[in-house]
Amino acid sequence: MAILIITSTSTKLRRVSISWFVLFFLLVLVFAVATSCGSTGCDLPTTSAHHMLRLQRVIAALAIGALLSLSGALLQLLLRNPLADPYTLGISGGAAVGALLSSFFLPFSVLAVGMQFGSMLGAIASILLLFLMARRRLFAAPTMVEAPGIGLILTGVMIASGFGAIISLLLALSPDAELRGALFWLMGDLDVDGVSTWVWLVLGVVGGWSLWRAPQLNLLAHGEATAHLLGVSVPRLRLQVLLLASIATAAAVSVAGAIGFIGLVVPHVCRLVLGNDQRRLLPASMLLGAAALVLADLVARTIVAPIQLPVGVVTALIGVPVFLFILSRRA
Amino acid sequence: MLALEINNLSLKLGHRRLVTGLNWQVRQGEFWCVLGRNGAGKSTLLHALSGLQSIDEGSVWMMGRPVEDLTLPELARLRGLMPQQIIDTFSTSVGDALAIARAPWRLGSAWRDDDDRSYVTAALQRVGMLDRIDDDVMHLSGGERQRVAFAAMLIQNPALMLLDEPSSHQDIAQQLVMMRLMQELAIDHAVIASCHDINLAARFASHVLLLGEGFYYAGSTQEVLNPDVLRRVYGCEFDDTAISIVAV
Repeated sequence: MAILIITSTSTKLRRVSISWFVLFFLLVLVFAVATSCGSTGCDLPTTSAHHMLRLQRVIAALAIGALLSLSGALLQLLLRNPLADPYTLGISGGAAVGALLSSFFLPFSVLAVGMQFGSMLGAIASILLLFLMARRRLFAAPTMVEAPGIGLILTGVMIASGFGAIISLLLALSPDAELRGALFWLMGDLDVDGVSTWVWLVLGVVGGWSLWRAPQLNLLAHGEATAHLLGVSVPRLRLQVLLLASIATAAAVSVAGAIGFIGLVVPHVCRLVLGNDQRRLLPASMLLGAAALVLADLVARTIVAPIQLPVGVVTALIGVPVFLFILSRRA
Repeated sequence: MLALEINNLSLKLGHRRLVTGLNWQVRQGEFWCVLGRNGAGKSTLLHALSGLQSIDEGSVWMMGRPVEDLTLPELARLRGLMPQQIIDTFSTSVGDALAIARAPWRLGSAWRDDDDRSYVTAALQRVGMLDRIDDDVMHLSGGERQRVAFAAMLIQNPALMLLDEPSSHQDIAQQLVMMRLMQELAIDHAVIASCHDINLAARFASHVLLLGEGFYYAGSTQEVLNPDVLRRVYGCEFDDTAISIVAV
């Protein structure tokens, strides 16, 4: 029996080691291809302007993919709901309303920065609204009978529905000339200006915190009551997770719009391969999320070149069959 | 030293008062069964002792200290609760699900868990499930999941073990195994288990807390489990030669 257990443990360790190697290799490979290839074909990276723009875009995609996956993994853990993703709680809706309002009222010269700033304000407003509406559940002591995740999800879904209605209203009122740009933003757009330093800063803070708190998050993954019984201050941890996941989503959405499916599918794929230990799952989700978004962006830029597709469309087109495959395996 | 001391405890669930004026002392080496009709407050009492249910009135002391003075990590080393039902949302191996129960004792880096495996294998061996260590918890039956939860309690190893109907999903053979295990644990722990089977309580428990509507009996099994007391609590007749229900 002991030999059997040692063998199965070493098999598991080998599988985990191989998975890390594959993840790193995939990330490096995708980065190299994405910086070398574009709508005009593939060439060796130089310091020319279009190569630098491409590099900026790939670097932003790395951070945004990692942020969305991390946020999805944290929210699935907190809400104990496999269907949770960074947009479940309505943050992307708030960001979209902020971006659309900015596009209406700001002059064209400052439109790109203005939309980013507006979407950030919208995301922050939706986080504040969520915290205000769900404050009792957020600060409540854990119990055996009530799952706070359900209440939070319902609050988030209501906020998202409200913002959805405002988005539809704004789109209906927007002039035809601005409609295409607005729709492109809503479907996710990685055509960023600058190097997005602050997005990397947010990734550093949220990612660092997640790795530091991964052992406590492991307890939370087994339910709030279990975490409490094993010595975790659940209301504090719950609040921290929600706040940081929200900030991660807000940062990603304000730069690149609402890119779907990365935050939902990537944590599931990692969980399927590496298990539900947050010490492995969270860093793996960041790595795979980064690689997945860079790859999706490469496809979006090249598949019908010179036309660029919204990257959100590509992530959805790839994400839907992957998620259905995972669901069929679970069944 | 008293493992648990409760003074004048009252509990409410919603607007319903369940336990009133409970004074109760539990020592290390005692195995208590908490009995009572459905809805008498057995689970609520265990949840309140675990901090998962607010206390309406009264005080609770564990190992000579009031619970409000204890930090959560201290509490996790002093008391543990095995819940009646565990709902798993994500796939996890039995081994990984159990390793987290070591958390209260990991005082150094929580990233290192080299020695956890030995605790996990020892606990699983004790509940007869070592061969399921790599199985997914979502593929276990209710009874097997309950035994894994029991193994988690062994790994957590608190001074005061609270178990909410630990044998409710077990077949008769496993019920006996679980009761014997709790009897063994009670040698160097204080064990409190809620249950419905009066015969099992009579055979294995050293003490019984019997919850009625607005009253209770607490004492040794022989003192409490007599037909008159049981009739008053359950409202049905009991055989006076053996503890078994003969009519409802």
